[in-house]
Amino acid sequence: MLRIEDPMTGLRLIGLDRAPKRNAIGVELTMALEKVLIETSARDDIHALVIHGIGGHFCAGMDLKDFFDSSTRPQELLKKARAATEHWRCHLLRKMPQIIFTAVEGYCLGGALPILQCSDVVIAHANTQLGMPEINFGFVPGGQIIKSVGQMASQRALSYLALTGRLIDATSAKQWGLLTEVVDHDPLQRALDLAKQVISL
Amino acid sequence: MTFSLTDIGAKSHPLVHVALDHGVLTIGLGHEGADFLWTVSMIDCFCDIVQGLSGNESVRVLVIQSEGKDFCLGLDVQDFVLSSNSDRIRVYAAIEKFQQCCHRGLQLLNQPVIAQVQGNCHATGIRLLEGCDIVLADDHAQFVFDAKDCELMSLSKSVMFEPQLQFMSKRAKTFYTFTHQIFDGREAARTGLATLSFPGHVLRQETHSLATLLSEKDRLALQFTKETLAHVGAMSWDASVNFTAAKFAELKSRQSGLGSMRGSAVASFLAGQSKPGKGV
Repeated sequence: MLRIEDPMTGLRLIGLDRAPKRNAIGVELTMALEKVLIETSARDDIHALVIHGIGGHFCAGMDLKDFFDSSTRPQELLKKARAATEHWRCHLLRKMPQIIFTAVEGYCLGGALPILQCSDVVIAHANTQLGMPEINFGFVPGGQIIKSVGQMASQRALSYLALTGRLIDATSAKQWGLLTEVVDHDPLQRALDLAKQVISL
Repeated sequence: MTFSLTDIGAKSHPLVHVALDHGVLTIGLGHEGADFLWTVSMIDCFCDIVQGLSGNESVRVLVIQSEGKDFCLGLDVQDFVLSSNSDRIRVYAAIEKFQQCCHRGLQLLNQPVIAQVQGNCHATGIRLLEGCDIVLADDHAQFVFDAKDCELMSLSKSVMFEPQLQFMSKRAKTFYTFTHQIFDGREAARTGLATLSFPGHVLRQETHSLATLLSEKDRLALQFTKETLAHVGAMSWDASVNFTAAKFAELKSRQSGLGSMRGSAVASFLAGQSKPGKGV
């Protein structure tokens, strides 16, 4: 679910590794993410984090089939997974002592957006598509997602994304404040270069 | 589809054109013959329509536009002076009603609201845009906080006309309200007053396409999304989690035809079946 790498002193990579599901956040992934963030937040020797997606997409949001009505998971497990999600996206990720660099490409949807908001730097490939598609399924974007996007983008951009369910490209997302930089090469490499630069200071 | 204003408790007005097409209600304000100036009675009529729309299920999306080259050239001074001389209280009441309509009426409406702006848009029009969810502007639309319009809107003593401009960046808001400098549709989109701007020749088509898209979405999901947009920004993270959980449960219940949980709880209480004070 997660690929954790510590390629050099001071730097940790957290890769969302659920490529067949476009890295949608399911039960195991969310619990693994909470666990690694707790562990990382206590590490004085890690100064920068790079979060990225594996397999061509950053993250397609929450895995609705795994989490909600149609889930075949035991209720107790779902309850724990939901609590873990709220823990990392509402609290943990917001107080990480490390500088967070995030590299995005492909889909970056719904539940992935709070990760962007908690990141200090977000590098996106030009092929990135961002949005809140929940309304397209007759669903409501979570308050936590709306609140996160509202802290990055204008109220107009937020309303547009939430009400229309339309995806926007990287250029528009940068204009609306969701991204730091758009690149036409590997965003992970760019994020790594910046992270290395920062930890060498 | 025919749409009757009397169905929603509003009266017709020569300067307010209303048409319903596949769930998209278009309100056309003002026209060439009236120089795109807004009168007391016109504002009154507009507010009555908005007030009557909330529970109307045949209206899925509201589009506000003008019937011609300009969106709004401000309040009609002559009409306001004449009306003030004859019935000052009515004028105060109309402005107060308009302020509330923009501030809360449109924002709390169940349906999403799109504004389409072309040509000139003076302070009164800008005030109206504040209540809209999505604003599509012509690249060359001209926005201005003109002093005359701001003064007229300040006739109502309880709510002085100071655009809240919660959508606009603080720097832009301060600059344009102090200088009364004109800015175009692209600048409006850049500073957050408008959502997007387009070349004039595609504006109408873009509005139509967006309104159609919204009209095809789940009505309750749109309503609950609007409510979430209106409230979670001011909440703590934990409160937003609780709010979302309550909204999801209510949405699920109503989408499956079970009706409002709050409604059934109240009905149960009125029927003497539950006694909340006793915890049952």
